[in-house]
Amino acid sequence: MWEQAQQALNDSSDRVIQGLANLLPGIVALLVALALSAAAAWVLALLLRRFLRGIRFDERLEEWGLSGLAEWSPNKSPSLLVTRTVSWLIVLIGFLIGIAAFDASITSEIAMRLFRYLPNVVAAVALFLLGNVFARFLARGVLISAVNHNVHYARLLSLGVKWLVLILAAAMALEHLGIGGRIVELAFGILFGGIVLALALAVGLGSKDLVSRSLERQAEKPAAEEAPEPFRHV
Amino acid sequence: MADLETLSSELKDRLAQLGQAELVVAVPGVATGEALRDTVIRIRSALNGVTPGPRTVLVHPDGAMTDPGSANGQPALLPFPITPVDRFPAPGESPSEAYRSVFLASHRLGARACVVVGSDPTTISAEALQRLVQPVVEQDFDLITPCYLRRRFDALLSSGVITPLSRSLYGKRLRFPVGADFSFSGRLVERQLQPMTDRGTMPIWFASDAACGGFKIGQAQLDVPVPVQKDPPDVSSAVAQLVGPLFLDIERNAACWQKVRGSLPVPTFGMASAVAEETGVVDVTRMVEAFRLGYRNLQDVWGVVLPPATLVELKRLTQLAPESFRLADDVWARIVYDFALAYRLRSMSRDHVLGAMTPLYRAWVASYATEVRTMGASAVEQRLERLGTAFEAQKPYFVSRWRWPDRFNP
Repeated sequence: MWEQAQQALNDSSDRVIQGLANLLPGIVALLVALALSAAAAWVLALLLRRFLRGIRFDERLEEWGLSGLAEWSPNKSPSLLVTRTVSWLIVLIGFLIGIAAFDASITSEIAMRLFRYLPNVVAAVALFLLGNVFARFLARGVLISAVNHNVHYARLLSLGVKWLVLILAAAMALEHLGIGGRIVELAFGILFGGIVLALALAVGLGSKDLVSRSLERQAEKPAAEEAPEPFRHV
Repeated sequence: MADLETLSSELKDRLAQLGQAELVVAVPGVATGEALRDTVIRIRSALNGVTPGPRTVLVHPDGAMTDPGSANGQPALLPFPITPVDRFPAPGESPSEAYRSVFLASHRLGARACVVVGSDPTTISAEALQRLVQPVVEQDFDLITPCYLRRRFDALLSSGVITPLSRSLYGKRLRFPVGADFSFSGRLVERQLQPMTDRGTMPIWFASDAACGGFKIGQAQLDVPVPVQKDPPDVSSAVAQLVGPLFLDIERNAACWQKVRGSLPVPTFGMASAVAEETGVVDVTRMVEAFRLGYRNLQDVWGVVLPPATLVELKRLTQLAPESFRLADDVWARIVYDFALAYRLRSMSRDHVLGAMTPLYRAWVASYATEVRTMGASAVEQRLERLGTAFEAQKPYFVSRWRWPDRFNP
């Protein structure tokens, strides 16, 4: 009886040790792959950073009107954003190579899923970044234009425009990622519908007096502006 | 119209029939036959004193009624597809295209001189027209710019931005580098016909081109008020349409103006008449309020363009009452230079740069108006002279920022 138990214990110990021994090269391979990819990422990031600095990438982006990207970048430098993205991608590839050392089928399965999902991620990120740049551009344009037309709630108007575009961009990005599904659409519809309804209620009921006073002021404004203006600018 | 090849065959025949001319006078603003007849008489009278009597072709809009006649000494008439140049262009229109059309006709006719009378020619005396023509025909000048009778609150964009900036950059003390009435030599016309990059809709580069090309420049007293703009645009559109092309021009001529030091007066033909105008209280409250609204809302945008020292100065301005509102000349000069630089660097969209400058321009107008409201005409001229000097004094600041925009942060 005791001998049988000892035999079973020995067998299970052998199996675990053998399993561990089988796993060890994979772990070592994973660590080596990670170390090598980290080193490669560091070298490539260094070269890429020098190259981007050489072609004045940050200044060029500003010239192309993509200054909004800088505000979303580490240290407000799009070059740094690009180099970090590239280096993390290399580390990720190294990790996938390391995983393949355990079982090639797992890696290929993960890789296939990742690659199938990748276009969605890229599209979502691009949509959100473009939406952000567009929102900031529009917000600034509205702010400047409103100030030049003496609109006292210029900042509020500009903020409204910015957040509307941002929310629209975020909803579109989430839809591309497949996160939230119909919930995002519903939430977006409710939010937009809510804003429009709130405005309608404000005009129709809640701020009736305020709106009527505002409209009266607007109606009276042209007469006041017709006062002789002594300045000729052109 | 950019090319004579696009003209109708009748017009080409008419050009061929006219052959050669020594002087081309264009009157884009003449719309009726009566005005055209009056213009012909004035030009004939103006050319009486010019020796030798040049063979002249009068280019007028093809919509005007024509009655050619053929009296001896009468200028030959050439109906031409040109649009008026004394008003802000409607969408799709460009005064610079009208000038180019005239230059093409002038070049085709081999003219030695080309005069464009963009103001209403029936208001300009024959003597004033002669002052515009004679220096180019007889004294080998290449460009004659106009001098209008300026009331203290006329052409403020020209007084506050274009004239002092043009003077400090190109070293020529012209009173109106931008206007509607000019005369050009054949050489300068030829230069203007060379292919050029986009320069905006308003033709403000004649003086800078002439100054940078080493052409001989003068100015003529026309004894008429600054041409009234039909359908004047709002202030921000005016800033965008006049200052935008000016900033483009600065970028294009960077190699030239960085070498220029100081400024020189240019020969002026004719004496300025006195301008009668009332002095008195001017309400600048709306201008000051517009500036304060800008300060409350546009600090982030101005922060991209202006250095901290200027922002502090602007903060101080917001605390002043309208009657004591003063924007120092050196601060204003630096503001204009900083915006020219932001326009060049595209620190943000160029439309936004010009839009963000508008409240600051309003601040300058308020400051200038409170200062000159009780001054006589000569005192106003002296005041503008001081502004020009301040722009010159701040030019090294602009040159440094232009050359080292990243390093130079005062």
